[in-house]
Parts: sequence; C-alpha cells; structure tokens
Amino acid sequence: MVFTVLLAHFCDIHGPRSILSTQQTTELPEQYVLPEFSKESYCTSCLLMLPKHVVDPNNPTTTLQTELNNNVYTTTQYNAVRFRVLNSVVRKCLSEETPVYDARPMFFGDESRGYSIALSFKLKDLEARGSERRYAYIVNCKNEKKLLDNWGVIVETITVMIEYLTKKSYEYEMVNSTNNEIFLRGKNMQSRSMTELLGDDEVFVKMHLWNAKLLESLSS
Amino acid sequence: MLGRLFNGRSVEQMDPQAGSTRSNSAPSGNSLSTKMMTMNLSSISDIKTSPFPNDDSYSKTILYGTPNQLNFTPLHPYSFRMVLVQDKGEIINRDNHKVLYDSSRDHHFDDPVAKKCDYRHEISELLDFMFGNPIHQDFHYRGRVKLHVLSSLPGLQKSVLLSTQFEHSKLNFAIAVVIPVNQEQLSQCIIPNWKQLIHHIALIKTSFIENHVLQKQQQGNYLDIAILFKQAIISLQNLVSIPRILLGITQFDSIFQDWCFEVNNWIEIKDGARLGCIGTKFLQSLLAVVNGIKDDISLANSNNVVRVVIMAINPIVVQKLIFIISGILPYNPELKISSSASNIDTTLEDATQGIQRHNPKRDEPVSPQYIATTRGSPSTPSIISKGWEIPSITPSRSTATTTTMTPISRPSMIQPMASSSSVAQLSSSLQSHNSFSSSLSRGFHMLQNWKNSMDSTSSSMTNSIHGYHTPSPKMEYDEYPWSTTTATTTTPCQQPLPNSLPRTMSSFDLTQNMGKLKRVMPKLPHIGRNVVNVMSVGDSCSPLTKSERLNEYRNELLQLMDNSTSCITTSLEYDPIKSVSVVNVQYDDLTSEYEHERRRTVALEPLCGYISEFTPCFKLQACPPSQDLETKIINTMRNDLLEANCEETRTIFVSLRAREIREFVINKSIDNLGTYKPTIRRLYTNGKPSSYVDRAAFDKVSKVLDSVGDCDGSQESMQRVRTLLSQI
Ligand SMILES: [Zn+2]
Repeated sequence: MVFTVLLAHFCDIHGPRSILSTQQTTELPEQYVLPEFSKESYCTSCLLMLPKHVVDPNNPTTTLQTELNNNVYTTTQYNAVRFRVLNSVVRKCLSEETPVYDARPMFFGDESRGYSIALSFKLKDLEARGSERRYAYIVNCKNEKKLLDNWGVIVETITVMIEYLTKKSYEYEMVNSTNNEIFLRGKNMQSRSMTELLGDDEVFVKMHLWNAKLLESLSS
Repeated sequence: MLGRLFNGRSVEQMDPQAGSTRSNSAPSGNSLSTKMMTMNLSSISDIKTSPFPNDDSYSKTILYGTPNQLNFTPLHPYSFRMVLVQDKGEIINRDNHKVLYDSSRDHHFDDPVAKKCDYRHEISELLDFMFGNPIHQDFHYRGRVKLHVLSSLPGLQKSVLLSTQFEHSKLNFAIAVVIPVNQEQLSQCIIPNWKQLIHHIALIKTSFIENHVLQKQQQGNYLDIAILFKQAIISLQNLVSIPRILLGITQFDSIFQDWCFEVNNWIEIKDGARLGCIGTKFLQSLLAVVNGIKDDISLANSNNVVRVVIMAINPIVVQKLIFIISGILPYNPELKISSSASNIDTTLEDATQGIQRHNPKRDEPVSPQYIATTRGSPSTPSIISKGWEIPSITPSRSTATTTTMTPISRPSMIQPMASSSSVAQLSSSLQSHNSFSSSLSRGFHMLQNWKNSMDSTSSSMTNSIHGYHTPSPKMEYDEYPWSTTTATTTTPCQQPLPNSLPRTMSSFDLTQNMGKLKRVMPKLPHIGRNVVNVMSVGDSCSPLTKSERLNEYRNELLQLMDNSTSCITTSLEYDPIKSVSVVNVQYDDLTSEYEHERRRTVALEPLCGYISEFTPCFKLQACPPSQDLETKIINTMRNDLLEANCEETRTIFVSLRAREIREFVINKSIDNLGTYKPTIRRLYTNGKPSSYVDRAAFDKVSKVLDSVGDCDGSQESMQRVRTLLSQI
C-alpha cells in the first residue's frame, strides 16, 4: 500500500473531514475492512453515502472493494490503518494551507505523514455556507519521489474527475433549482451530500472505481 | 552544525563593505563555495542555456539513444523570482510579514525589456502560499519544501512557487522561489530536479541564517543570497537543457556491439594492450573504481553524493569513455528495456544513413603517428605486472609525464617516412586480411565493418591517409599517454617492425582512414525522449500530448459516470470478524488504464557527456580542464554536506591527459575540526593503479574485458560478456 487517494471535505459543521479513502490492498485485504463506527460525529455532507440498493439492510455496510489484476482496492470512510496520519493530511490541506478551490494542484509533505498532491475544488450549493461546498482530492504517498514521478498521471486523472463533478453539479442545479436563490441565501443552511449535489447516489461508488483505476496505474 | 560548517567563512569576500570581524578567523573551511561568493553579480543577462558540444550522430546515439535533436524547455531567467520573508508573529497586524529580500526589487534581476508588473505576482499571493493560514499554523511541516501553482499574469502565464518555512533564533522565516514553468513543463523541469532544487533552497537558507540571522552586520545586504539565487537559476537551466545519458541501451545488441568495439578500441589504442603487451590497465582501473559507486551514480534514491568528473580536451574521445562507463551502470527498470523487445526504428536508420561514425577532423590521431611512435620504442609501462604498488605521496613520474606530453613531441612523430611506411603496412594487411581475421583478438566489430566496406572503399584508402592532417595540439592531449613515457620507461614490448605490426591496429587504422568507410549506425528501436525524460522505448507512436491524454481520461470517466453506459455490478459479502458487510464492486472497463501506464515518462538521472564547464548537478560528466576546477569540485562537495542527511560526499576525478584517477572524499563525522578538508587518494597514477583500487573489482572487470576481447559478435559470446558484466 504505497498510495492512498482521499476525497476530503471542509464540512460546515465538522471542519476538515475525509469522506472516502481508497487504497490498494494486495495482502490481507480483509484488514482494511472498516468495522462499524459511530456516525454521530458526521453529517450528511461529510458522510460516505452508499446507494440504497447496494447497502445490506441487515448489517452495517462500511466498505467497498474491487478486485483488479490480483490487487484488491478498498474504499472506506476513513483509512483504518493510517487514520491519524491521513486525518492530519486532510487538516493540513483544507485548513492550514491557504486553499485555492480552483483545482490547481499543490504539493506538500514530510517524512512522518508522507507526501501529498492535493487539488481543492468547490461545488455550488445554496444551502451551504457561502453557497459552496469545499472539497479536496488528495493523493498521499510515503515516498516523495514516487509521488512526484507520477505527478502527471495523478493530476490529470483527478483534474478530469473534478471537471466532471463541477460541470455535473452545475447542470443539476440549473435543472432542479426552484428559483428561490434569494430566499435561501445565507438562511436555511443544511448538510447535503455530494450525491445530492449531483443527483447521483452512485457517485461515491464510481469515485471508488476511478480511484482504483488510478491506483492500478500507479502500482504497476 | 551550522557553526561548524561556517566557522571561519570569509564574509569579506561576499561583501567588501561589511567589514566582518570573523573574516580572518580560519582560512579554510568555507562551506558555501568561496569562489561562488566572489563571483561578479552584475546582472543575470549572462545566464544562457549552457552550450553543449554539437555531438556527431554516433556519439548522440551511443549516449542518448537517438541521433535526433532532443527537445528541452527553455526557461526565461528574468521570470524567476525569490523572496525571503520574516513572519513577525503578529497575526492581527496587517504588516505581519517583513520582506527581507525580493529579487524583483534587486536591479541585478531586472528584465531589460518586460514590464515588471506583467510578470510579478502580488507579494500577498506569495505570502498566502508561503505561510498558509495564520490561525492554523502547522509547525510540523516546517523545513519541508512545498509547491503551489501560481495564478496567471499577462507576462507570465504559468508559474509555480516552491517555498519552505523555517525557524531560527526563535524567529520564523520563509523562502520562496517562483519558477516560470507550466504544469506540462513541470515533469521536465521541476520533478526530475526536485532534489537539486531543494538543495539550492537549503543553500540559500543556510547562507541567510549564517549571514543575516547570526551576523547582524550583514543586515540589509543580500548579495550572498542574490548570488546563490543566480546559481540556482543557472543550475536549473543546465539541468533542463543538457542532454542526459540513457543508461540501459547496451541491452540492445547493436549498441552492445558498439560498446564491445569501443572497449576493445580503448584497451588497444589508448591503453596500449596488444600482442603480449599488458597495457596500462587504465580503463580496467577506472571501471573498477566506478563499479564501487555505480548504484549511487545511477539510482535516484541514494543519499550518498557521488560524482565522476573526467577532465578532458577531446570531446569525442572522452564521450566514448563515458559510453564505456555507462555500460556498467545499472539502469532504471521502469524503462522496460529488453534486448528482444525492439522494433528497429527504420525512420531513424534512413535519417542517419551515410553518417560516418568517425569524424576525421575531431577524432583520434590515426595510424601514421601511431606507427611512428611504436616503432621508436613500442612501450607500455607494464608496471602492473610487477604487482600492486603502494602509492607514494610524491608521485615520482607525474612531472615527467606531463612535461613530456607536450604537443611539441607530436609533430616529430609524423615523419614522411613513417607515413609512407604505414601505408605500406596497411596495404599488406589489406591483402592478407583473411589470415589476420582468424588471429584477431579484439575488435570483431571493426573487422566486420572493414570487411563490409572493403570493396567499395579500398581505393580511397591511400587518399584518406595522405589527406589526414596532423591533429591540432588541442586534440592530442588525451591521447596515448603511455607513448610519451617512452623516454623514461624501460619495459618495452619489443616488436620487430614491420612484420609484427599489431594486426588489430591495422584494422583499426583501416577503419579510421578509409575516408568513405561507412560504419553502419547502430540499429535501435525508436526511443521517444527529450533532454530529461524518456517517454517511450520501442514504441514508434509518438507519446500523447497533454490534451490528448486528458481527452482519453475524459472519455473513460464519462463512460464510468454516465448511468446509461456504465454497468457497475455489486454484490454483498458479510465479514464475520468485523461484523459488517462489504460491497464488492465490479466494472467491465477497468483495464484500459494500461495504455496510460505504458506511456508514463521516466526521468533520467543527471549524467551527461562532455559539457563546457564543470556543473555540480551532474553525477557523471566530462569537462575541459580549468585552473580552478579542483577548487570548484571541492567547494561543491562542501555544499553537499549542507544537506542534513548527507554524511559523505565523494568525487572520482579523472584527468584523461595525465591518465590519473583521484578520489576526493569529505565525511561529516570523520572531520570534526569543521574544516571539511577532503581526503584525497590517488587511485591510478604513473601508469598504474594504486592499492586503493579494490582488487576484487579490478579482477572482475578484468574478466569482463577479457570476454569483450574474445567476443566475436555471436549471441553466445555477447551473452558471456553480459553475464560477467552482471557479476561485477
Ligand atoms: Zn459534517
């Protein structure tokens, strides 16, 4: 497990949070399965929301896994193995740096927390503080050189995803807005998931696959 | 550590007005290069892309894998910028940040043409990135270099900011450098040179702490910082414009044959080993020495700083030596070079047909001189046969060697008689080529080529020899040092002439002299590369442009995201240990990513051929002699030690003219006086290796060289060489 891909969110209520964390788990993929965890410290906008039709109605469903060329890619709300380290990476990216939410890449890191390439972006949401929700796509790697050597693949793969999310959320907003922008602005703040902003409850599952593809190309 | 490193630095040299009281404390131990500090910083207008020799196609092919011109990204020196800022720790104060130095306010860095505001970012934008959020400062990341992409300006569309924060004497500072590259150029300019860029920032930081934090006298005068910044710009210019050697191409048989050819050539012509003469073993010694540090030379992750610097005058000769050295260096496995996977690049072949391997104007002196020399007293200082000699502190013959090796001695060798005699030799050799081919010990390749071109070019042979002009003295220095020891050495391999003219020499002479002889350019698969990166090996389709790649990604992503086209299937699996359910997700189209993987670029390590002057950032290089070359190298080594994790720095310094190999080592822990004096050892001098050369490596290299001599070009014989090579 060299690289980890994170979708982080600056939650209006909870601050910098990881929404999903994808990693390659070649050995013992079961150890990366996340046990049930308390959702109390999460809200709709910072929780990993899975589509209803894939969730087990009888058991908590915490983990997405995909096998690809003998590697298993696992996505969970947060990284069970490097929880602290990656949490601090998310904090660093979204609150300690000066974030520019226009998908410009940045690079930072140190030996203890690994090195990261991060692209921050925002999606329009009238029910959010400042009418926008702020996210960051982060790829973290313990090896600085390995990460930088893959700058092109990482930045391009993520740029395309952010481009899509921005465009899709804008289109969805245009179709579904109820013309109550003035009424809502600054009032009625509510937690909303990215799934709602895009009108696609599978969006995190698709992100999981996209991240798996990225990790697969980084691992070979 | 800083105190130790900088103890006794002569700051007067940096700033004549400063009147430092420390300038006389200790004469040696300048850590940041003294030479550098005395450099005149009149302006940066003299920064140009470092010129490199206009190599011939053969040199280019064996060193870079292609005779084609290599693209590079020119960097505009005036668009660079550096700021040095103090954080006063007053978060609520609007003027919390004090800009101590800003190169955009330094007239040395003024662009004579462009308007400053067109290419200078507001300082606030830089400060935001340098210091981050003032409320949520994270001190743990201090000292690391981070990278941000800056906003576009009318005169500077794309640029990035490298910055680092640090604390000293309870004060907080940050250094930032603006580099004018776009994201596409990042992979050619910034990423392969990350280590070097960090090193330059570390030098600036160290100089700043020493001269502006610890010594208040220096306040307000930032000449040292300006000079170091200029050095950083020059260094990056060099790194992005000087072509890097492509290690690993000897995996291709055609290049490997050339390698064997050049090895044999060197041993016979330069080291003088032939028909019972053991030769100087110079090449063998050098390869044994390089072998000891080969991983540090070719691998990026090494913390040991090593350099091999070959001082030479003749670019072609020394580049062949570098090619020989490169054949023993490990290559980046990500290059996926294999001898089998090669579609020969036919376009390349067409483009280079008719190009002569040897350029008679610049290449080695040819047979007439050689024969004349060997006739007088064919000599080889075969001291090595007497065993290993402990190197003496005062080399007994080095003076004699250098003095006798003056250009004056050369013209006397070219006697009309000798020339005509050599023609006779060559003619007789030509007639009996069948017989000598069987006894040829070295140089199967040149023989092959000689045979191939016999019919068409034999008539031109005589002309070409007569037409050959005495090489200018400049070209001679790197040649045959052993022949100049004739006067002082009395261990000749006596060969009665003319009958015993070394046969391989004859064939070499033929190769050299048949002016129209076309040595076939080595056949290689297409190698897509620029100065720094390799994009493809054996894949003739040109690499995708950034926009083409992005479009491919976009199509793939749309396929995945669009519910009408994506067919994601899921299944649930219960995990009894964690008591949760796992969703297994499957998607049909996950494998197309391999296309991108295959096209990923690989950055080459900074190893180069012959460059116009010593350039610290290259780990292997050849450069012309200069008076202060040794000082430059040693100062560079001292600067290496400023890196926290660098404990030792080592340079193998080769003088091709004197046939001398020396090793400079500076070790942080051994040197507790803080002077950082190098330990200098002579590894090869006076025509023989010293006891410092690793005997086991020397013997292993010997086996390789023997196998090269025996190599007849067959797969088996080449495999034998490769096997032995892999064992050293
Ligand atoms: Zn939340």
